[in-house]
Amino acid sequence: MTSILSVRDVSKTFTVRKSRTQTSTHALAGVDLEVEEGEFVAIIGASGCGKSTLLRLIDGLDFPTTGQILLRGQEVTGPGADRGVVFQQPNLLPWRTVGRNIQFALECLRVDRAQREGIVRDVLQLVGLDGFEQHYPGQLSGGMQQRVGIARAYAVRPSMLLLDEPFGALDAQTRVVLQEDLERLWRTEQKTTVLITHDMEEAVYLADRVVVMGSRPGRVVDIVDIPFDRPRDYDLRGTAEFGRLKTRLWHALQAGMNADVA
Amino acid sequence: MSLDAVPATATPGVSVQYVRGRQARLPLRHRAWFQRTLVWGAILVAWQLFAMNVGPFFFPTIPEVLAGAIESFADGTYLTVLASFQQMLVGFALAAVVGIPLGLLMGQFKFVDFVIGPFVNAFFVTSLAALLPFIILLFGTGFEFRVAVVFLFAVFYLIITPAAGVRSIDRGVTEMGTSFGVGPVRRLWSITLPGTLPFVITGLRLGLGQAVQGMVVAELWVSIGTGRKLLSLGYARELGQFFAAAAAVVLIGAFLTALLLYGQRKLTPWAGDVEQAVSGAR
Amino acid sequence: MTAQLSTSASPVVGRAVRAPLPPWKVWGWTVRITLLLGVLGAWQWYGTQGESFAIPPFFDVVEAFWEGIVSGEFLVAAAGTLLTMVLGYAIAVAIGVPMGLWIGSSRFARNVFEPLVHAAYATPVSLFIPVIGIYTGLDLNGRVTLTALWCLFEIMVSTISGVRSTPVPLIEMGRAYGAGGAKLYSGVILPAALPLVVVGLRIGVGRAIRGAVTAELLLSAANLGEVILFAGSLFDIPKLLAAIIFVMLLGLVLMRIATLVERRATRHLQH
Repeated sequence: MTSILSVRDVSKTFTVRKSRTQTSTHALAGVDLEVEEGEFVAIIGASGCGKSTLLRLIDGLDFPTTGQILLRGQEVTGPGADRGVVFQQPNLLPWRTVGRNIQFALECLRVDRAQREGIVRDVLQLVGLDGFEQHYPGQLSGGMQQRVGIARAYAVRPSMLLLDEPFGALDAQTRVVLQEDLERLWRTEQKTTVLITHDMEEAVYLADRVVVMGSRPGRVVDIVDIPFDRPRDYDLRGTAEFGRLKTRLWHALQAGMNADVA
Repeated sequence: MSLDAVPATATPGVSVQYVRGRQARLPLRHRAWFQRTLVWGAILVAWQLFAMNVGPFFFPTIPEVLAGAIESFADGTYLTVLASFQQMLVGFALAAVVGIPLGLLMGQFKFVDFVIGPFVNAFFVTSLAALLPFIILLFGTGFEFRVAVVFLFAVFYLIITPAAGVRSIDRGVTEMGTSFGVGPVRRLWSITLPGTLPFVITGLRLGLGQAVQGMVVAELWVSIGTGRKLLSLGYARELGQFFAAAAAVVLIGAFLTALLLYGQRKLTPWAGDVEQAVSGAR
Repeated sequence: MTAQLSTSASPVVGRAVRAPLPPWKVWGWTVRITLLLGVLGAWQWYGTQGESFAIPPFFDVVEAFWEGIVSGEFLVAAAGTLLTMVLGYAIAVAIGVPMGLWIGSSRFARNVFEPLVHAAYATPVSLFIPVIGIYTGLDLNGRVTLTALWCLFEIMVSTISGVRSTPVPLIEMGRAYGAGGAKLYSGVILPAALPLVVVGLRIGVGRAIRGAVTAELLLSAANLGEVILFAGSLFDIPKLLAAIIFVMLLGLVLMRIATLVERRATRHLQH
């Protein structure tokens, strides 16, 4: 196993200037993280711990103040098609049909038309949405929209998937269904995945390794290995081991919060 | 998640900058004041050169406009402008007194909206200037005429914007009121009026612009007050003073608009920009 | 997860059966029509009293209106007014939309030009009526210029806010998938700006017709403006009122068409 992604001593400081006053916020301080090829890593933390910032840095939408982010040994200099992103909101273009939304990502890669249509069919089948190619996003439920978002990420054949709280805006039942689908997808595609979440159950259920982040400043406080075999099914969530791991994450999260936050 | 939600592109009003390494400030050529000084300066220079080329009968030079401003102070033109604005404010106040309650009624009661809404909308979009020759027949050419024109130009903005405001009040808030047993009077005072206030002020602002437009059109039409002065300056080709006088109208209008904007920020600090919300209606 | 396609039925009242008009709507129609008939009736009654020379009986105005239509006078004049309006509007669109796109998206253009655009937007265009003839002449050129100025800044401001309204998450999505420069504009920013641009174009139509009529009344008498002014100078009040009503109806019809075009252009976004 080789390391595909290395986050080395990364810090990120935001400076917000509003007329005369200038405030600096340390979103991340000294974060180190290695992700192996084919691994599923979940990053969990309370609101404001900088976990989404970390994902933005990995995706190249933003740059670290200090430190380095290496993807296959190359420093990240900007967004690229080697990383497929699923956002918290589906972020679909409302004026394009489902099929054309997925094609958007392929157009950016200059994939030719005939090929694009084939890929769209494949990924829609993968996420269980075949037949919805001609629908507009506004005609789909939130869960289906997020499936389109996942399909779009798969369409670009990335070397790794970045998921930024992809199920955070969904209702509890839909969330479980999509988690199971994602687990199945991960098994069939074996794609390196980094999942940002605040849901401890989601992290334990899906990941091989859970990174717990603390806040103010954002930093890694613990890394927990999840030993469960795959395929994982719903009953796993009821086992004692599952509960023990969730409890461990809870205490790590508590420890990661500074005393000033309740 | 406050930190993570910081957008990458700067939102207007608040400049958010991402600091990378030591490069904390924008280079000089990217800063607003520098670009403005450069381009606006260039525009002024081009204006001056152009005016010197074509001569004062076609376009005034900058010194001529400044001299025109001094002249306008001396010969009372600016007092005329102030007097015009006073009369405009009478018509505008009348429009506010009639329009805002009507708008609130229209927003609150579907029935009222259904009955008078179509007529209000029809007048709102159509060309009111065509009515001028008829208004003269009704009111003559004096004070009443100008008040009537300003009223007509402004009143529909003052109906439609508050109406949109009432409709924009969150249903949930109204239901909360109902479930706490809030009566109709209390609902008007505690929910409807505060919720509508930003829209009312925005309506006043939009209506004011129309009122100034109406004031100018009316005074040009019957050649009186500021309109008369502008016409005679135009005929005499005293363009320096013409632009100085026209600038006064624009500046006083801008001052009144700024007052309303200031009031909007002070009185309704919780509300964002509601102008977008009503732009679809225009 | 089931395939739940959103049907836009109201959650409170199912519309399975075509219900009869609710009582308040019946009352509403009654009052609306009564109001209209009442106003017209009062007008007719007051006009036949002959108390004010400014208010002729309503049916005299209807007659003059019919006369103006069948003699072709109103229609010929309307054609001229529409030409002025279309030319002015086209100029305003040709300048306003590209400038708006530029100011909305370039930091330089925003810094330098946006304050100027807002200043111009707040300036009453009618102020320039006394001098506009110096630069353009008083004929068609002058009227077209005035019309263009009347709607230019509305279109520009609307386009600017359209470009600004593109949700930041969508732009980030585009960037995350490697859309740069041109692709980001053609694929994300312009389509997202479209609805507000189209709103600006619709409001621009209303402004253009107002500008054209104002120019024909105040700058130089022509077309519909001339018809109104001529009838006014002869104190032919029924014809004056008929022409005014015709102008206002023309404005209404144009706005109606503009609204329909707007709906069509943004139909795919309404689900």
